[in-house]
Amino acid sequence: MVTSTGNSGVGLALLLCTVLATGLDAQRIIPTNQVLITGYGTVGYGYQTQGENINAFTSSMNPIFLFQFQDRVLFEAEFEFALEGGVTETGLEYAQLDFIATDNLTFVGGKFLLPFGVFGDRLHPTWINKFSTAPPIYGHHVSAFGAEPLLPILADMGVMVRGVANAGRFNLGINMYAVQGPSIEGDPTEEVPELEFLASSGDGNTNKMLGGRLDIALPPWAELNLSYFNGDYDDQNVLDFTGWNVAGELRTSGFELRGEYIQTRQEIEQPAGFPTLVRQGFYSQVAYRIGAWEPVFRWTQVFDSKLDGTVTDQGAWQAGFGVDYWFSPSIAFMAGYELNREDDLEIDNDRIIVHIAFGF
Amino acid sequence: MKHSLFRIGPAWRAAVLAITVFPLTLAAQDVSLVRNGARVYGNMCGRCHNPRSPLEHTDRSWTMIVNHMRIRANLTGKQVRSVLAFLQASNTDPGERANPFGETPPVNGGAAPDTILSTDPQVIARGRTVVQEGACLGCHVVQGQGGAVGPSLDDVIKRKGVEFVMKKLADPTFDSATSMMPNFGLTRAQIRAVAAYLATLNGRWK
Repeated sequence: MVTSTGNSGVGLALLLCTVLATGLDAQRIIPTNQVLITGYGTVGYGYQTQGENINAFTSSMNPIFLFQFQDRVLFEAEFEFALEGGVTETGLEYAQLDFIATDNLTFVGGKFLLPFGVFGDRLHPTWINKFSTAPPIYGHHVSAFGAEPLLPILADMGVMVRGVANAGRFNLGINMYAVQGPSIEGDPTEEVPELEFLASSGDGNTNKMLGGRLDIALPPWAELNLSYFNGDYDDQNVLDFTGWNVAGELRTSGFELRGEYIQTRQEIEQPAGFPTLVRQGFYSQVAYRIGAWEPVFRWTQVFDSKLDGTVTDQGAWQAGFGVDYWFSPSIAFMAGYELNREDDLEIDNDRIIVHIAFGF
Repeated sequence: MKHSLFRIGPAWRAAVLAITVFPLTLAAQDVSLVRNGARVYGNMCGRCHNPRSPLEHTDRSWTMIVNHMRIRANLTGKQVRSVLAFLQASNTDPGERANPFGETPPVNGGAAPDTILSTDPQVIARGRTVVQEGACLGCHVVQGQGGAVGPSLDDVIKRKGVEFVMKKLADPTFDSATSMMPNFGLTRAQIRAVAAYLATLNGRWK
């Protein structure tokens, strides 16, 4: 449970960073005052034999707007336009103001992608994600996975400080943020309330979710990321929700291995006390570039959900086989086949997803 | 009366020396910045996605994109400036670029020269200058110096052959559409010189 002491700690950290930023003489970069539209688009087709009947073409576009004022202020926003059942869905993935205080320190405010793991804030654009679907531990677009995703791709309203430094051959980064946090979706009297992570201008309680990520990179060979957040999700500021993430990557010429482990802990209110629902899972992905071709294999596993040691939901796994063909550094044809299995059911949710991803 | 630098006053001597040395120092800094930028671009941007060709954007667009990526990829201000220097030095169409070595590049920029290696010491020395003063060392190792984004150039002639190396220098994307290597608009003479120099590194033509 986050206490007022925790919030005060982040406040002090933000104040300290502000003082440091004011005192440091950052070197200025090229001054500009302009607008740029970039982003990515995807056109694809999905086919699933059983379970949810999918046999459809898909199309989406994610424009990113960049507005820069002189050399220190950048406003960036990403929208998503996608067709769902004949209706054009729109979404605001992020809309954030970045204040580049010094060479090593940036302040961010608004709605931003939370630095929790690396898939959400770095890898989710379709031309960057080398598999044609998102890892199912993250809920992102339609998933045929047997288990509920552990978390959505997290984006929330709040403030963040990002600090970076070079230490020899290492690149270090630390991110700290305070955001609105999760709230209860639907009936709050359910035995295990469902949580929603919708960034909104309101907050379900007076508590802010606090979190951060530590990045240690040895470019181009390896990177390790440790992420954590904690906040209350009920309107009484009593029930705690915590997330952990460990992400890593290894690279050599043409070869790339990456993975993420997530654990969430959700306190539940019961007459006997406050037991904790623990959910955890991971994905691991390997890719190897051979000329313009890049075979990809991804393994995802979500373990049984347990409430104080008692299984509440069965786990599931997915094996994904894919191959990409790169027409240019940011345009690729991606074909993926998913084997989706739940641990205790004979359900075949296998599917094929192909698309062309275009980063522009 | 003979006029020489040593016969004028100390203040003039200092001024003449400063005027002579300053541009050289600046040029060395620029080369170092561009080379470092190439290394950072490959190392840091390549962690998550294929580094895109510098030719895809103008100087102004790259300024905004690099600032956008500064937040995503945890780049320092120093890294941002070097990456920008690299991208902005490499995003001119090879046919329109003012060649840093004072020669006119081929109009199409992609025609491979003949593959006869020169053993002329002057040509080899010239190739060494191009490699050492260009951005090659930002990504490639040459005799223990340089970045690790691309393969070592020490034995590249032995591994890939003269024709491949010359074609790669003339058109970096000829073998891979996703190559991040920029087209530096080298002249045919420079390409021949670079290949001749690289050939000496593995001892075959010493």
